[in-house]
Amino acid sequence: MNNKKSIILTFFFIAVIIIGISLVSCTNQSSKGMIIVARVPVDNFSFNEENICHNFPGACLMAINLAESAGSEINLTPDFYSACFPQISYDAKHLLFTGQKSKNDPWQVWEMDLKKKKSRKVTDFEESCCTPDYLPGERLVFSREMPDTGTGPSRALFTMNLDGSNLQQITFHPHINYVQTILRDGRILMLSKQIFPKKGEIKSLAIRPNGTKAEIFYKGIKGSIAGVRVRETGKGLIYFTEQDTGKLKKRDIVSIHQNRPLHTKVNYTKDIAGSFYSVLPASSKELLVSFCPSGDQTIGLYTFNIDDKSVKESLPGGSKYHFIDPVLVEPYERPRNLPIMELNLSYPTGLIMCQDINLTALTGNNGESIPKATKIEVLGMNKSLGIVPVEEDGSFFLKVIADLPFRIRTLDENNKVIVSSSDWIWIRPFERRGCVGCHEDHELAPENIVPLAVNGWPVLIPVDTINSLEKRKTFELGDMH
Amino acid sequence: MKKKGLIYLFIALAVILLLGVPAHRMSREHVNYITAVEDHPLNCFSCHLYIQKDNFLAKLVNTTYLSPFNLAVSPDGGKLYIVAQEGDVLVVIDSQSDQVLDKIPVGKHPHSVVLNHAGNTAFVSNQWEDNIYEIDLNSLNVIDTLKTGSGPAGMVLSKDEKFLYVVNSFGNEVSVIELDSKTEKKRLVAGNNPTGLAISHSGDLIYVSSRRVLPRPARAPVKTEMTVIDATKQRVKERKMFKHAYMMENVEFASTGDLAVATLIRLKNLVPSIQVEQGWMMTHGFGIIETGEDGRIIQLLTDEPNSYYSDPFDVVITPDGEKAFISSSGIDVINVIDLNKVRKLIAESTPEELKTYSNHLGISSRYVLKRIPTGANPKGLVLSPDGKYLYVAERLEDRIAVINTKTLETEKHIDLDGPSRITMARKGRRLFNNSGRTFQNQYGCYTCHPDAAEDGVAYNMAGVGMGRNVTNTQTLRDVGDIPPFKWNGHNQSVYKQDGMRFSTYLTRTEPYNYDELDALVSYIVTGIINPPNLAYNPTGELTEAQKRGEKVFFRTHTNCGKDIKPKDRCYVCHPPPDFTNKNFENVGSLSESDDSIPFDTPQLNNLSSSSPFLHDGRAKTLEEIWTTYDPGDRHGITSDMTKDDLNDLVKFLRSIRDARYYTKYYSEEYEELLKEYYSNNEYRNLK
Amino acid sequence: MFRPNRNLPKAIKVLFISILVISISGFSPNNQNTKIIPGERHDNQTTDGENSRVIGSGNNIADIKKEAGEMPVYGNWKTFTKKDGLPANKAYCVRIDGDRVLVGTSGGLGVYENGEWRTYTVEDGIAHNGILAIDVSELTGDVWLGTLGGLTRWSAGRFDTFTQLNSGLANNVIYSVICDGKHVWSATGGGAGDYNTYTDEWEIYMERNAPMHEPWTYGVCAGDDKIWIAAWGGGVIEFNTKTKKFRDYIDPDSQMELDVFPDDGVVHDITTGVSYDEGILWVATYFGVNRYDGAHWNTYFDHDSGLLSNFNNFCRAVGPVIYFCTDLGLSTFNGNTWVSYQRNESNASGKVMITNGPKLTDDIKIREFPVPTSICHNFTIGVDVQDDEIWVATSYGVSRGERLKK
Repeated sequence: MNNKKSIILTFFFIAVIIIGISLVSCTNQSSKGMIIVARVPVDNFSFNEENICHNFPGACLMAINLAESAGSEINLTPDFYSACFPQISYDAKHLLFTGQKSKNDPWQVWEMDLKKKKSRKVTDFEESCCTPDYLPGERLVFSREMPDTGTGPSRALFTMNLDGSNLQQITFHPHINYVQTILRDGRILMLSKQIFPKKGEIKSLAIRPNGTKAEIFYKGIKGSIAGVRVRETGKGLIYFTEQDTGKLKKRDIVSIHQNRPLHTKVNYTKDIAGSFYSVLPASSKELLVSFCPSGDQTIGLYTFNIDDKSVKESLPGGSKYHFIDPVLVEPYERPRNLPIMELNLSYPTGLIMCQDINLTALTGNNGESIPKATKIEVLGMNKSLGIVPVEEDGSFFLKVIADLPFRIRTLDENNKVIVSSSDWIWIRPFERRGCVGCHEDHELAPENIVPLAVNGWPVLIPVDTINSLEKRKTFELGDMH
Repeated sequence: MKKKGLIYLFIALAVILLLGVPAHRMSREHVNYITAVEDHPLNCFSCHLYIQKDNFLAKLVNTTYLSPFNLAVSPDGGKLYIVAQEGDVLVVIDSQSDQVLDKIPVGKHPHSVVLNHAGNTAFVSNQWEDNIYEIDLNSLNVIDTLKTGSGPAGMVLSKDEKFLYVVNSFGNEVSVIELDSKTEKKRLVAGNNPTGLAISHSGDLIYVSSRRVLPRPARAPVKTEMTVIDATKQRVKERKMFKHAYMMENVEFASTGDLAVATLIRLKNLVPSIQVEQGWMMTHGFGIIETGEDGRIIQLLTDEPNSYYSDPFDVVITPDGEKAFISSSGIDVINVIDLNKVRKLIAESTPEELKTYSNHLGISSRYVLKRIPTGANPKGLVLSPDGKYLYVAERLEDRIAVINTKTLETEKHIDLDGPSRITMARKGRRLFNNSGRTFQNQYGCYTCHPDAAEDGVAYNMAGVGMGRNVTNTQTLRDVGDIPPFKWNGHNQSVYKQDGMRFSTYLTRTEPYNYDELDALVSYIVTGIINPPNLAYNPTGELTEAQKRGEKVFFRTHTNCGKDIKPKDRCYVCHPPPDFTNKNFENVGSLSESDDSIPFDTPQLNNLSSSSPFLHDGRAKTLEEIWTTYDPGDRHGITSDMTKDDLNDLVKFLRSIRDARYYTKYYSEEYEELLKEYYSNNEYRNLK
Repeated sequence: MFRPNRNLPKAIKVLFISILVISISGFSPNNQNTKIIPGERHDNQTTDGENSRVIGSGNNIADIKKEAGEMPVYGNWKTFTKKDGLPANKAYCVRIDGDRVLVGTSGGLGVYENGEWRTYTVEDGIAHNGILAIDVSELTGDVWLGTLGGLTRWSAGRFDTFTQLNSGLANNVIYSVICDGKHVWSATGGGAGDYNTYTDEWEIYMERNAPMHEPWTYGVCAGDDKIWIAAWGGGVIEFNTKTKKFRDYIDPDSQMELDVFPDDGVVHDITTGVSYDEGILWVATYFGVNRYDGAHWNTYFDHDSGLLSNFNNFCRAVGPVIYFCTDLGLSTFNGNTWVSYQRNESNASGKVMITNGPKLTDDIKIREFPVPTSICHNFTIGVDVQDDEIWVATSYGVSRGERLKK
């Protein structure tokens, strides 16, 4: 081959590479700085029966560049009957959403390649799924309807690999659960409402992605309803909307701080007429919000200034559509990837220990202290799983069948109930869990003592299965570190 | 021609293919063997550069930093005097121009500096030299050396400046030094590992804070002492006990005279370590000591439910007594405490409420005004005389932060002119001292391994079950060459030790990435040395009693002339230089709550500073190992020994220094004995 | 398992024998001394002893003071027993520490302060409730307690216990403890122990490394860079803290029952106490006592001096005066005059006996003065003096006496 030919060939290759790179960067550029938002037909805008979450029929996902003039928006889901609840991947290259191809399909989780604008089905169940979110390690978490086993319609959280493999159920209590966000510390924040034996208040629970250590994170005033879409900023502020208990059912923008979520609520919009349906921190001063100024108007996209509490319209809903759940098409910090090794799915049980059942934040009706309890009763879904006397120091140590929902109440010597049932608890296989007291102050750390109960063997729950499952498996050779 | 070229190309590709594949496999096997994990990247630098010790490469890669630790400010506020713990210098700074005026060489591993009221004399405690340098601040020369006890740390001058009180951090005493005669008048017994002390504004009281818990029965609640000295009588007046707390690094009196504040950690070593959530592993805060008659001792946290402020180190109080600043050295912040709100809180609270508050993670929102971010590892604090500025020694940044105490903003940083390049070991040291890699920043490596040693506490690590496998924290000093790690020896390398299992059972968050792991290993393997054993073996020349003890250690026959089986001889399981055979042994110390396993033989270097002993810390003293916890001569043959034999053995064990003193050669008398048991090769490997 | 001390069984045996002897000889409040009866002469008195007896009359105190000369005389005795708040009636030792008095009893440590007693026992952290010896460090104010179960340091409320199992302490049975600067010396059943409080190191001196007959030591005292150890069967052992050299003083005649040559050295190899002050070493034994000025030894017996009994449990020198605790009362001596205190058999009154001369002669007799109050029991085991106050530990309570002024 002579030089001329080789030079031409080299130039040709270089040219191809340059063109390729420019094309790639163009397509990348195309979604940069844009937002993706759910456009919901006005007629289909209604919340589900719990007034918590929403899968709006006929909705679609629109990519919008707010800097550009109206009409520049692109429908990302033209071939879907409905598409909602967009969530951007950490590198901003993909998008999770819930959708249905045709009217009668169950809602499933889909992932879209934002560069190719191509979507693929991630979940494929007969039941509907919603509120998907990305987990570190190429996984996602989502909420899925569960078959009614007599407790009423419930929803459990599941995790799975993005390729659809390794499905894991991580919540096991009779609740309706929705994913709110993945906290920067790696835990899943979920909105949860008890449905059995009676309906409970809506709470936010934090839970590790392997389903362990579920604990209360936030609870509004009685009757208030927190929005399912939650956003945490780099400074630990967690924004969401919350519907108050007034007649107007007004929804406000509130924030709590990750460091002390139970006691740091701030309401930014209580003095602003109208309702806010979703919130997205755009900068340290501004929030991008879905806002409906009055009942006869649609929900549009606005910017809310945190300092002067002013609301500025960015994208009007117009007369036919609402715009909700905006997400920024920008990379963001990946949360911590929490270790899952603590679990051992081959184990049939987990352990739970309580330091002192008589340590409680509750008081009697007239504020007097509660009588001393000497036993606990472990309650299952439909029956008592056993009554266990506690140690002198009020401690107990149980080995519970894994993933079995149960509640605990305290009793006196005569089996009279002292403190009524706790929230539902479950222990994952090989999980070890502790609590300081019963209905204790959730901000209380344990005292540095050896609870008497852990000096002995744990009591197996349900008690009638003692030793039938395993022989003291808990105390086999273990890792001390 | 073209054909030839193609043939050459084909041959070259074939050779690469033939050599490349096995070479890659060999390197993979090599790295797996060295790191004891199968996922560490094939990065030659990890071992062949970053963890080199005492050779040309090590000198090339590593450097010595200044590491500012404590500091003082001149009475006119014009100059700062900063103790550089690694650089062994006292750095003099012009606080206006931020210029480094001088670096006065001081002794080894200096700890603290105090100035006299006139500001013309400084005293610097040299913790690894057992003395204090007296420095003339006009000529900036060391003019005298004052002898102290073991490990001099914090100091205060008596009000009349006739006496200097020095805490001997290793000797657990306070030396009272008369400055006229430059002689030590007496030593007063303090708590366990005392480091900080403060004198009341009236000059009649001195508080001495200690770090380690007092000896106690196994599994008993811990308590740590704040020693109260009557400065007029020069006697210990009282010993205030802080229950469930330790690591009281420093203490400070409020000018208002009503209280003193000490930093502390409320540890959870007795609680099964089954979760981090809700403060189950460590909580951090401060103690309030009411100085009046029947004054209370109150403990409050600086932590929050989902965020912890680990390893509080120093505390200073503004001249008006209204604000306290506490450096959280594990998370790089300064906590600003509103003391008036604290006063109100404790005045309104019942004893029961205060007991609850001591474990309450939400209460800090009542009195923490702000958390000011700093550079890596903020340690010593000092306020300008007018109280307008707070100076923070950012130890692992080699700089001083200057914070405006009114705006509570950092106004500037003063660079101490240390090395500009950050070595891998330095990065590792930052990681080691930082809690950011633990769930919710609750604790760091440093928390349980202060000064890279151990905290003298046994933890219920609860790897499996609860209330079982209580383990005594082990030192990390000079451990790089003596795998396996942990009492159960499950980890054959530091890479594995600090890898996935570490994040699963200890930090309970995302594991270190490989760069961070390399850095951490580099620090642990190369950057941590034992302090000189000045108390028991300053020169390497053993005393007569230590020599007798050495004979007992290397004995092959009992006092009755009976042959001792090799496995029952001290030197066989504890051969120099590290005094461990790096193997597993069962010395009959297993308890019912232990899994039935042999334990990794611990090294004995600088043993005297690491009580308690045995895997679960049940032996409070060396003597107890044999007098109380050696049933049936399982831990060597000792039943024939007399009391003075045992005393000699203990004296020898206490004399054992850092391994580097024994690496080349142990002694003419016993070298052959060691070779006799260990073949030459094995013995070389031990070294 | 490590055996603490091969000599311990022997030591304990000897201790039991000794306690037996002690018990037989008077560990009962009713067993009072009947050796000197007013109107009768001593065994060693001449037949014309009638004239030598002087019974105080008229201005009693003035007569006593006049007779005693330079020697301090104590009276106005007040007794404290269990019913007054003392931990137990058997008091082994007493130490005056400024405004408070520390008493070691068989039931723990009693501390008398502001007119009230407070008790500390093993529950507070003391090694053993049987507290045989107490000393207070002049440097630090720390109190050191020698007990039947180890050595305890009581420092500003904190009790640290050192035993033969957790430290280098020679043996848990401690008869005597003394602070010498940074050193704490203890006389134990397993040798004499030297604890260096600065270095936390222990030395044990016994027959293997010191000129002792056996490891059992009974008393220790310090002064002028020397330590003296009362070694059971070994006389007195002197240790030079500068040169680290020993020398021993033993009974030259080696006779168990009699002293062949007077003033030739230690009266007996079995010594029970030593005390040193103002250049004089005093030695107590069960067979008499000694005074040693560095050059000459003087020996005193009950039959040739004002010493109440040859059976001496303890001695303590304060300035020029030595206080001997005997089984028959308390004898004090300054090298020239003896003043002894003895309780009457029948009531709380007693007598003061003054001998104006080191030894009895035809001219020097014991003069006896009845006094309305006396020590609570004649079997005395411990004594301490500070300013004008004296405290005496006995087998049935402790007594506080005041120095008589006029």
